Amino acid sequence: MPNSLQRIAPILIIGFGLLSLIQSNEDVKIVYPSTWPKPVYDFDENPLSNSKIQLGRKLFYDPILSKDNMVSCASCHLSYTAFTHVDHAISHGIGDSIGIRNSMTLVNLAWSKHFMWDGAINHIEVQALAPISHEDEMGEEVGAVLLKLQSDPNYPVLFVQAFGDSVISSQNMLKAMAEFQLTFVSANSKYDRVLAGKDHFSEQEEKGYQIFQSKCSSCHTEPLFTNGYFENNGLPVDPNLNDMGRFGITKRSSDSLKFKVPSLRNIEFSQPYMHDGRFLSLHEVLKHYSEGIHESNTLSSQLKGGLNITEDERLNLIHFLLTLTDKEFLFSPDLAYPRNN
Amino acid sequence: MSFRLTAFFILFTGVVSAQSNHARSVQLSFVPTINGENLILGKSYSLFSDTFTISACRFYISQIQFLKDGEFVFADPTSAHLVDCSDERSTNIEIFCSNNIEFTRAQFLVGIDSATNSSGALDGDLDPTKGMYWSWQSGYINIKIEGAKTSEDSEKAEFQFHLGGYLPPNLAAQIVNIDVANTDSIQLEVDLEQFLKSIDLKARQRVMSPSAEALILSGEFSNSIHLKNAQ
Repeated sequence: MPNSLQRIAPILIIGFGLLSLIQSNEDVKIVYPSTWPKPVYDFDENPLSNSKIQLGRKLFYDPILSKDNMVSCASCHLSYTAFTHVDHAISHGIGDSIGIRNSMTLVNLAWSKHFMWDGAINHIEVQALAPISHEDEMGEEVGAVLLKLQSDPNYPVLFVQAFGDSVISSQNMLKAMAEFQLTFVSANSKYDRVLAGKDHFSEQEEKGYQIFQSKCSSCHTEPLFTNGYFENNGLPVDPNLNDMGRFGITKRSSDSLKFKVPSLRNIEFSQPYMHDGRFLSLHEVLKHYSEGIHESNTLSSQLKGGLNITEDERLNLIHFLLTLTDKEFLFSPDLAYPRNN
Repeated sequence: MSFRLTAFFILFTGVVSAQSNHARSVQLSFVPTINGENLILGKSYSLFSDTFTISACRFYISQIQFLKDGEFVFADPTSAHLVDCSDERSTNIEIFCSNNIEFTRAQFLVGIDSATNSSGALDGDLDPTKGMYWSWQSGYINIKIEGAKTSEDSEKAEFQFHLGGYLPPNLAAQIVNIDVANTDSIQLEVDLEQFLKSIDLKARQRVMSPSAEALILSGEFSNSIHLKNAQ
């Protein structure tokens, strides 16, 4: 008996080893409420796997992607602050250079058809190409990043685990980074719990929700809090930036001054606000929508004449907006810096 | 045992029949010319009383198909081929098709279609690190022509044409039809002289993003592709 056990022991060990490998590479499914729309990203075609997600996570937090090995994706997209760059109106990158826009929050990206404030990027897998090669962000050639990863002591092994190939291609690097970011699902705020019947709004939050539904939700549509489109929200053009938004991509005059409608989820943590970070507080934002609308040809029709939100309504609205904070998402150990890797 | 033998025979017959069906190779070659000569990158050419050098000439050919009497008879399964004049092998596209295919026309796209442009991170010739992808704005550069013009008064002007665009109304990929008898070698001339002639280089030295201009120049480029030889 002990003899036969000895004989099969190596087989068992190899067997369990393989099983655990398969286990770690098993398809990962993102979890979201059944009432949500179907994601834009085709998970049936490209199922997520743990090894790719973990590789993407390491890449996301690794400054090796930048020319001076100082700037990582997380430099401007910090998990604890709704994956954006707080306290800076306009995000800065390599060598303290400054771009022209406030970094976006990264949330519920699987439902996003376009990326960036002007929708310049059409697929999450190719998004990372833009910040890596932008001279004011990471300033590096993607080909040079691949060479650095290839000569790193750890990455080739991780690429074998994830893709079965130690030769690091742009496709595999980009897919891994996309997979990690596709797991950024924020669906457990107080708002979500109230909708699921597990919590209750306070009186102020409830009043704020009603104002939100009548005045804000046509653009910041529930449950993602964005309609996914581009809108001109009545901000006068900053003459120093002269940013025409979506027009720069489509060259259609009807897209002039339109920017992607950002999700409001975790808005408590994502200040400053707007594409150029011009407002530091939610009070300033609501003041703009009430009194500061700048009329122009492409202004969203809902905003003509301003939203006329009274002072009391503004307070209630802010109480509601704070129910969009999802601490489970913001402080998720699975999304934070990978300390064990 | 008998099962293995049967399986072997099935496999063997499968391989043989697949081979006989795919025995034919058709060469689609692109020969860039200038002044009637085959282009050499970096060489000076006299053209319209100026001196021209071309430093880069790269373009995508995709969706290669053969037609017979207006009906599609074959479609190349490779999604795209990058033709790069600095790499002679890339100018010769080899297509494998079945022996029993006959065609009277070759059709292809100069550039990359919209669906492929929106399909995420791709590999092979569509790897975005090949210098034919706009990183700041998703989309492939269908055609990249770069060079310099030195005029009689020795004033030098560099030109860069990065032509592409996959969103309407600036869909830049161009369909090219070549009427050609059933043959195994199709040589196509890319007449860069004709292309350069179509551009007012005094007014326009640079097109670097999708636009109406990119659309016009893409048309001029595909119009400069002619059947040179077919055997």
